[in-house]
Amino acid sequence: MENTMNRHLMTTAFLCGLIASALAQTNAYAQPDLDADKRTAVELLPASCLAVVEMQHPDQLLTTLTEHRVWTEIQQRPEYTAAISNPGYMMFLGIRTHIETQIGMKWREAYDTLLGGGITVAFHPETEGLVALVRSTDAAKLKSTAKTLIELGRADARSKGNEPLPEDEYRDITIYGKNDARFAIAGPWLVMTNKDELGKKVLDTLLDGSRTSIKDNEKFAAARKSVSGEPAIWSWVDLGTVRDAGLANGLDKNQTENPIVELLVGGVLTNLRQTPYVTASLYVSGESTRLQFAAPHENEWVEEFREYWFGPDSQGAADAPLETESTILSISTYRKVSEMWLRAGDLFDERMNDELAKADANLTTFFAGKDFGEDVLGSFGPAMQVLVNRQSFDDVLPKPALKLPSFALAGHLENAAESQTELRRTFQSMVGFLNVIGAMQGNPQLDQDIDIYRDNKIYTASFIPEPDEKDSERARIQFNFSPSLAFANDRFFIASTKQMAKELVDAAQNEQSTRGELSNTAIKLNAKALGEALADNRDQLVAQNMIKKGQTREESANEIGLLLEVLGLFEGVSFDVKTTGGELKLELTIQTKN
Amino acid sequence: MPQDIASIDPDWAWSPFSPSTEQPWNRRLAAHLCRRAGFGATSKELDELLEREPAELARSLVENAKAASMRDPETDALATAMLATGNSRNLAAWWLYRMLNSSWSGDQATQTSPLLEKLTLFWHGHFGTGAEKVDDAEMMFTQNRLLRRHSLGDFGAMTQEISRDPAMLIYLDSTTNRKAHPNENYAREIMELFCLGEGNYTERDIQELARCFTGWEVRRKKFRFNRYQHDTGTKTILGKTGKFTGEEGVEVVLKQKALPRFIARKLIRFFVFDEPAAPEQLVEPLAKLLRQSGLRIAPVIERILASNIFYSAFAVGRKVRSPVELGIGLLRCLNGSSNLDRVAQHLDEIGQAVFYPPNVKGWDGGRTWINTSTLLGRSNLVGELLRHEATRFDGQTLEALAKKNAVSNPGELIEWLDELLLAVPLDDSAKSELLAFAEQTTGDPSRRIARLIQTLSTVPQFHLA
Amino acid sequence: MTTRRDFLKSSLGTSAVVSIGATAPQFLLQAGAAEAKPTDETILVMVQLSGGNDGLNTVAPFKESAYRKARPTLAVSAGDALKIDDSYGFHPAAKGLSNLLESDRLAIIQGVGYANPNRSHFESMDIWHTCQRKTAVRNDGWLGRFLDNTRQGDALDIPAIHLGREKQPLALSSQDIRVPSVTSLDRFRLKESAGQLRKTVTNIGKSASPGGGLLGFVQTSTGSALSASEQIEAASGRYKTGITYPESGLAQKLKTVAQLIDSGLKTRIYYVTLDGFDTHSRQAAAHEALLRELSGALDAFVRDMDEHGHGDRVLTMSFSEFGRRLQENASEGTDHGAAAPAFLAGNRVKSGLIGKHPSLHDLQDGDVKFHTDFRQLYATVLDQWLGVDSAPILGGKFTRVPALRS
Repeated sequence: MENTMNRHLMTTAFLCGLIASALAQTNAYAQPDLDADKRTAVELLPASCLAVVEMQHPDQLLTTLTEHRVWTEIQQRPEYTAAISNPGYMMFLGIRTHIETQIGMKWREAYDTLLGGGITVAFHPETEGLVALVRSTDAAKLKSTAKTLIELGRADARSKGNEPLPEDEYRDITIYGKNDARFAIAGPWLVMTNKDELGKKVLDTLLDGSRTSIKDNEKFAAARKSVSGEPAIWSWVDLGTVRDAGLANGLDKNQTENPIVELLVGGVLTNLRQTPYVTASLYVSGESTRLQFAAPHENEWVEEFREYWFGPDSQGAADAPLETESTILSISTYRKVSEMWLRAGDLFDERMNDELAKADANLTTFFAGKDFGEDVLGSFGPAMQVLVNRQSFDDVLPKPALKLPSFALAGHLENAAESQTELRRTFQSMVGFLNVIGAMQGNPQLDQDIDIYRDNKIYTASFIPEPDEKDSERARIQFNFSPSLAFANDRFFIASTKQMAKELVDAAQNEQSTRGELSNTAIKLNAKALGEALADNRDQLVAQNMIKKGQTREESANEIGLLLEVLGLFEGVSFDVKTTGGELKLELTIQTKN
Repeated sequence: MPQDIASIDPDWAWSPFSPSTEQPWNRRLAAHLCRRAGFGATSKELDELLEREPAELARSLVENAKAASMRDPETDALATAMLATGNSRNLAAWWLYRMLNSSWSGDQATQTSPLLEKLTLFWHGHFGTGAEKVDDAEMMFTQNRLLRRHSLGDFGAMTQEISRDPAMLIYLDSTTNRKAHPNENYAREIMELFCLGEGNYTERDIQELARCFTGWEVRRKKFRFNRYQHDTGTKTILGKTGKFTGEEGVEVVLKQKALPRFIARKLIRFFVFDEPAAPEQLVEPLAKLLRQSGLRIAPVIERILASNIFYSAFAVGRKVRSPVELGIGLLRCLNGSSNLDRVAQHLDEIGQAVFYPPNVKGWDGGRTWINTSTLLGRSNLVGELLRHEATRFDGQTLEALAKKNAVSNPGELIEWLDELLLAVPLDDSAKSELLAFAEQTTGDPSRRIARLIQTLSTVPQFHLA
Repeated sequence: MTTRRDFLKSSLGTSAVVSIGATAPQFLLQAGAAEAKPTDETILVMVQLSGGNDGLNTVAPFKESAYRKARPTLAVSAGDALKIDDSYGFHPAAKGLSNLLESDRLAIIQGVGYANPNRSHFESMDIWHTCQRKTAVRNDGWLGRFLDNTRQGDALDIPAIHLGREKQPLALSSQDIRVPSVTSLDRFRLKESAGQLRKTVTNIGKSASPGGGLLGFVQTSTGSALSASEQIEAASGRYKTGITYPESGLAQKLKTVAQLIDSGLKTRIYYVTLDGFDTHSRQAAAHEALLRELSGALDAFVRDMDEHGHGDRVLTMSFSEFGRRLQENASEGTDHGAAAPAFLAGNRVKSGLIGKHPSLHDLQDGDVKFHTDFRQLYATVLDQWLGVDSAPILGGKFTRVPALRS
């Protein structure tokens, strides 16, 4: 009898204890110490958000930018001084100083404090709204600064006779603004949105917590896991859901309008049609700025007619570019061009196919009856490069008045022995043909020759100068060219100058076998070589500028000088496409000189 | 003032003009001079020129032009740069740049004279040579320099030199001339188009002159005399007999009585009035002057630009503005600059691409500049020129230019433009229509001014220079 | 057409050569008003096919065994051909031509060519253009001569227009008249909100006292220019047509021609070209595409003209500088030939096959022989359609071809 009583008592006590602790818990949620909230933005955003953009350390980003060499250089320029002395900017400075006094912080301090915890923006499909979450490092300062600014704003509105900022209450939190622009401050958080419902949803999560947030979204989580390094800005889009909702109609037609676009980015289209999500990251440092797009990629997604782009198992890799010091631009890629040509029916619309059919007929005639798509293009291996080099005319006469860069196409031949002869024949008849035309138009003739260079034959054609032109430093534009064809092992080089052909043979023979991460496509632009090539033609650039802008010589010279100086601040730009590691990555990198 | 051109007294016509109360020496008349002797002038330049007497001014302009003609643009860095591409279209832009940057005051040693460029343009049309056939910018440039050098000099020397100019010979398919089968092309053109005009020679003369030119060849873009191909026999041209060489043949032509009349007539048409055709008695005094000065052009130009008839109602507003005069003229009068490449393209579309005359006769001019397509093209050209992002007026906007010229409302703007740009003044109803138009335009002040100028340029009077 | 041919053409600038020979239309001088009476004058639209169109595959003698034997891969089969009659049919891609024939609007003049056929593109085309062979002086074209001969003081406003970027065809060059080469309607439009500008200038014109001489001339010219631009803008703005023009280059050019005709412009000759017919190898795909372009464009254009009420005064002629060989070559193409059919399309043609098909057994150097001199075709058009005496223009009298209904 006593035991039963005890048991009842203990059960009751236990139950009471449970209830008490439960109450205590809910109390904790009902009045959270918001100011000390330790959550991250992604824990507060609804799980169904389709896109998120995140800047984790705005203060670091701003520091990098303000200390960046390019910025300091710009600040030293007279144009900058002139630009900031205009009355508009002066007025802005005045207002800024006034506000600084009011809030008691210099603008940089305010920026660091108020935004230092990060900025996150997200798009929510159900409400079709955008929400931005800004976290400050000091909740109290946020509150006081906001209060001051709101008062300033309201005073200003009153003085101008406008409606002052309206406000509303929601669960003890003040919401400012109306309709499309509302914001609220809760603890260290500044919440801004254009859809009331969405804002309130976020506040609810803030106050009550939530089981699920975007953090738990599978695709989002997977994307987060694959982030490398520390991007200044990181963003994510749930492409799968967007496609399902019928919002990405551009991807429906799996065709690009023209062959050049198809060659460059056709594969991206294939990927975007299947990939669950896409991320974009921006990395900023003193030496380089890199924008990277990445999306998961699986080889099964690749249609038959896009195999030419990706290569077998999506592992098609481009060769290392045969760069030298004078290389301005190198484009190295993996493309089975003959396959693309033959698959034109799937890749392009009817009109483009008609055009290609006409071109095919012409080209086949031109190549003496060999089928252009299958035989001519088919003899080329998939790894191809285009290179543009600056030409130095240091010990070359005659020197052309307009100094153009030399360019070349480098690739591999599938059946070297057979194709070499074919290619050579085509090259030689092409030169002969150019001579016939040239003679009719009074242009100099091309003299064909064969050079032996490092055990390789180079077939060259050089323009013959007139006797009085031989030593000219202002020769005709043709003297930029001496078309050449060279072979090295299974490689071939078609270059616009003999010199470049030789350089390529050298580069091929000295090629390192080890390389960094393999790319599907690698494009690189070198600012130094570009600057030098432009400087070679400074007079022409100035003249063109004078004519095109109607300026005086002085003005034009200054403008061109400025252009070259700005160019001198950069190392170069590169663009890479990588298809390894289960991802399709596009990277654009701008490098500055340090 | 007689109404009929036929009853004008030639002596009076070519006597120096003295301003009077009926015909004061004012901005309008000075603008007329600048339009004809060049490509127009800004208000400021007009005021400077007004300080001189018309007759003295004519002399001074000719002197400046002569001095400028000695300054060979071979060393012109801009030309060199433009030639680097080998494209004659670039060369055209270069010439437009020269025309635009010519100076009336002539005190700048580096600048060219508007009169010189205008005359060079005249000779370029006279000795028509097209770059599309010559296909070599250097050669076109060499010919251009040749013409400029002799613009105000000796017509005889110019003709001799141009007869050996490779570009000219290539254009006229005269790169070979063999003894056995003389090439008549150049012989025909030199008599018909360059020196005498139709009716002043016979077919036989052409054949005989062709024989003088035998052995004249162009090989590898250079003139060459091939003595093995030269017919050394006796020829009879225009009544003269002798074993003439090519040069001597040209001399025979140059000595013809018809030549000074032919050239004088052309100069009258280019500088004084498009129509009607000048009567004989009006041409004669100029022809005589040309002959007496040994075929030197400068005195004739001076006489023309100082003359009564030049400043009379027979001349003012009696020419149709050529495309170059329109495009460069508009920019020049408003102290403007723009993308001259584009301007050259626009001028081509309305009928005058310098270095690309339609044929060896050059540009017919006069009424032939005007048809539906070119009229609309002119209006579009003005509109696009004013709107183009590279266009600046005195380095700034139209609004700033207007302010500088003390124009502060549409009414004043119309008056200013009327005086500056139009040869035939607007009547009151036209002015009020334009005022109504200006008032309903919207946008920033520069845009409104641009719209007004474009409308003004579509009014018929605008096309008369 | 091969790239070789591209290179061999001398490279001329593509910018226009503008007409500098026209005065104001007579009706404006008389009426003095901006009301333009729609003109009744006939219009000729030339569609030149450059490269040498394969006539034997355009109008195919599918029944003849000689044809099938000579062209094992290229011959049009009886099953594929769009029948004209029991023995001849169109290439299956030429649906538009078949449509025109069915609606009684296509005359197929067979066996057109000239004696001593020249098989060089330039030479043969020049012969078609000037009616002269190399040995004669060739300064002007047959249409240019037409323009010269019909000027009578008050000439027409822009008598002819060449639409396209290519070099202007020699056929249009004349002694005195410059024909504009135009790439779009923009040349006949005032750009940028022209309404108010037009109104102001027209008002100024109305209240101005008509000047004599030059001023008067510019005044009337301005009036007609503004009126033309207004009509063209109105026409192209509301240019509604029930006809869907194909997207091809030729169709778009003909659509522009249609708009110009409809705007009331008094131009009498329009000239367009379609290039690419020089199919030496792999002819099948290329020729199919070209015939599709040609026939689609012609069909749409003729029907469109009819719809807008101009069907009776617009005649379209299509020709090529030569045909192609009967025997196909080893590259699945054909080489330069001689005689070929030419086409006349419009409401007033005598629809159907005109003249016999040249014999496939009586060949000259492997080519079918001509029986209709091309100048006969020109004479027909000049005399019966454009209403001028063809003899001085063609340099002789040529028997007309019964291709037009009187």
